[in-house]
Amino acid sequence: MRSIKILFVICCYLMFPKLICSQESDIILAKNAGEELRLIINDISKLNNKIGTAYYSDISAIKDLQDRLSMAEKILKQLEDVESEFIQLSENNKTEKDYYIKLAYIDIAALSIYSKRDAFLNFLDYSYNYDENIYKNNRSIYEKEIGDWEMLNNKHLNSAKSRIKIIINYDSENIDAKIISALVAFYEKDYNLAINDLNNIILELEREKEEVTGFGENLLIDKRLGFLYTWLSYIYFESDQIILAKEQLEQATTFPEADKSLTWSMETFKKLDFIKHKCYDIKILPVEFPKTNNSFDKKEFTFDYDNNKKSGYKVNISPIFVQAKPEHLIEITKNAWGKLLKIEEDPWHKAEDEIKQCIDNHEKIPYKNPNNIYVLIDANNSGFSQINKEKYINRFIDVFEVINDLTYANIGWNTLVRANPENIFYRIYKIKTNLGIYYIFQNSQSFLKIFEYYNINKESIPQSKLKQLEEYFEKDPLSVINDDISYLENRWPDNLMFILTKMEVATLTEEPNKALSTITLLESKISEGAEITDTDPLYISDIYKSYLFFKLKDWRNLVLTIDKLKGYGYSNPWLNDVKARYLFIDDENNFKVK
Amino acid sequence: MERKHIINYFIGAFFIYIIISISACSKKFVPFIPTNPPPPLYFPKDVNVTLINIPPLLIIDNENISKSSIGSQYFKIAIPPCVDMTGKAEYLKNSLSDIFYTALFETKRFSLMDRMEIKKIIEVDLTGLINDTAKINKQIIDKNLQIYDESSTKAESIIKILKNISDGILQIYITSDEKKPKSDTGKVWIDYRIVRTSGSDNEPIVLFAGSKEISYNYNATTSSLSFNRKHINEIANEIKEKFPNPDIQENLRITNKRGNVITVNAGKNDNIITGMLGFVVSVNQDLYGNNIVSYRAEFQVTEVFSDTFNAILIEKDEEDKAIIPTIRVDEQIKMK
Repeated sequence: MRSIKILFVICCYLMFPKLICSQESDIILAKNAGEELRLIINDISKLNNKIGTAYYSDISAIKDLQDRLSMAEKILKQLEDVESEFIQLSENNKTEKDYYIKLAYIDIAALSIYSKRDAFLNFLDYSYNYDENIYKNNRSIYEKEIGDWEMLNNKHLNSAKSRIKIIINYDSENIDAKIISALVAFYEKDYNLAINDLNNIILELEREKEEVTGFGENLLIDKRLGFLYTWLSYIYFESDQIILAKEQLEQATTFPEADKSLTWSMETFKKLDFIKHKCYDIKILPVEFPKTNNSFDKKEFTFDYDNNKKSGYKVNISPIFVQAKPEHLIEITKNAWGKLLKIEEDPWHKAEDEIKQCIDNHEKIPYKNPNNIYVLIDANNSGFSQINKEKYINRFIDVFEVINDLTYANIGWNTLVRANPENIFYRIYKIKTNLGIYYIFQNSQSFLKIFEYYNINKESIPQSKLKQLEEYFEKDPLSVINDDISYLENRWPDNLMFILTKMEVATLTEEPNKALSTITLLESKISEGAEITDTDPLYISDIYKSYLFFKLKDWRNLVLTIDKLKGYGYSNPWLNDVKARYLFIDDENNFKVK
Repeated sequence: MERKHIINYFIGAFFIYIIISISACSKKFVPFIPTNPPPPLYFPKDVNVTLINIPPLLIIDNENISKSSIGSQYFKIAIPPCVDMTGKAEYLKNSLSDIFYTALFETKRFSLMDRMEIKKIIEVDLTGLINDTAKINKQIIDKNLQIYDESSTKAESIIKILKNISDGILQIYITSDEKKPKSDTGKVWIDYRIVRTSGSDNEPIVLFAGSKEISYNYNATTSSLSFNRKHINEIANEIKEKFPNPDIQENLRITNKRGNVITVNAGKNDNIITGMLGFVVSVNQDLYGNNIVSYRAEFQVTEVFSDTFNAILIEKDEEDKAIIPTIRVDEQIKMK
């Protein structure tokens, strides 16, 4: 009997604390899980901190993006763990709506990553083998990943909606349910609905704030208001309504109680200020890689030879695939422009020393040495010498190659622009290729004129054949350039990169006086202290101006601009060229220039 | 004149020839100098970005977390056997405590600890129990009941157990017993007090005290004993009246909170006495409009003023630690 009693008491002692512990653990578990959720959300807010470049130029082998993806995957795993903890809690406490609120917030936190799947995963797609025109294995990895993320995105959208329903069943006026519902609308890309809903919640809270007197409740309302304004601001950013975004950001900073939201607002303000001056963008547009390649008929101009003498010429056409690979296209575009500048500067450069010497000695122009200088070919001068003709022919062959390169690059950029119409970077490069083609078109006669004087086997080149060659120089892309400029003007009128491109286009396509006024107008849009890749944008605009003053023969302003350019302190071959040319034209009456 | 004209003509023609020759010569050898090669273009390396981070979500602590378990919503009294101070009323003490139990139960104001439980605790040889189970259960027993102390007597050990499982102990002392010779009737004088036994500082606090004469009938032959119930009911009612109203009252609220200390808008006028217990409660409605009362935290009154009292929120376990920070001014309270 005694032992039964002892056993009974032991059972009581052992069971009583256990019963309490099992109930107690739910609250403790919820508290810990809530803390964990806060930390994860804090980490989500840091996901973008390391990214400083959009990587439109070369997405492959980007450590920053890989690091960000790893961090995002870690966060998503942590969210899954916390979610399962709250699911267990909600099953243990079916009437406790707070667990469903936490679960719905977990959905929103996960959506903040899954909804940006392109930005997180796109670099995985960039494993295309252009030489073999095939996609490597990464392509299937990317497709699987992006498919999985899309599925999970939809799962969290649906799950958030169903959890909102549960919360509303318990409390039809629950404010968290309303907030989550607005955020779901945002992640469903219904920005107007999201903004409208958040504004309604703000109005409701402000009314409530006027009614309540308790300090604690006011504090909570202010916290919520600060939080809601940050989200409104973010949604405006995402929908490219920057002015409205800033207004909401200002509102958010008036709620110091919303500590974390306030920190976010202050940081965002600082970033905007920095962006304004340093030409930084505030979003990375996901890059869509073209799934098919365009082909391009590469044209090669060659002479036929008979006993080392030119017996004829032909244009070989060989179709090649255009690699719509930004880094590849950037290289081709820059090289093509480099070649073009070299072609255009070449005769002048070679003549420079000799001409200068003549000026100093008050001698005639050094036409005697055709190795060092071109002699103008015109109706009265068949080219002075064979060497001079050869120079013209080489000049033509070089520019023919440049046309090839620019056209190739243009097709590539155009493919990228079609796949990524909003991407300013690709469109600007497309404009640059067209600008090169346009320049050649404008100056085609200076390249083609040689054929009027060039004989092969003592026979003139037939007009019909010349016509064929001219066709390659007759592409006028000005309307395409203007279309692209208009597109960018509508989208990013204040983007510094665009402003400089617009100056470039004006310099090369407009009448010099008109171009100068365009540049002056655009300069007024550049804020003080602005920088673009560590360069003062006004330095770039002054280079364009010096070109235009030279063209206008406005020597006074040219001298002033050259002095100004020297003042920037940048080392640039162009400046030396301008200075030398200025020396060259110091006594303009000594020369006859074309 | 004609000759002059002819000469002039030749001179003019000669100059024209010279000019034409010079201009022809100069045309012939004009160097081709592209004076205006295009300026170098600006080739951006990429787009520099400063990304706007996602704003943080506001995860608010559940403001209405409630305790998963409370011992009792009413003040829980343990009534151990009376203590016979006269040394001759041993036959009365067990019955007297039983009758008090019934009387207090009928007031519907208190929660009473089961007499059988108390009896079992008393009957069990605690020393034996601890010896038998010490190795495996000592930790649990120590933590929850703290019953074992070798230096304490059995009675003290019992009190210690009761302290941990009740809010107060009704201690009844028989101070005199007057039974008329050859008569079954008698009177006992009792002193009674309710001692709050589980204060945070473990110092006993007397919440209520009194004394009263109670008449009884005792037949030694039949061993039948009956007390005058009226007297005992009067004591029970008096105890009830001295305790504050335990019902939910809309106007009873926290007016201030400093750490774990709260101030409540009730005081002496509401029968509040230092040492008394109460709860912070939240009252919500279910889908059918019924009130659902949740108990968020327990407190013990530490200071009483005429219209207010201060109390300390009792932090017994992790659950309390999680809940107490969420308690805010204006929350409702209810006395235990």
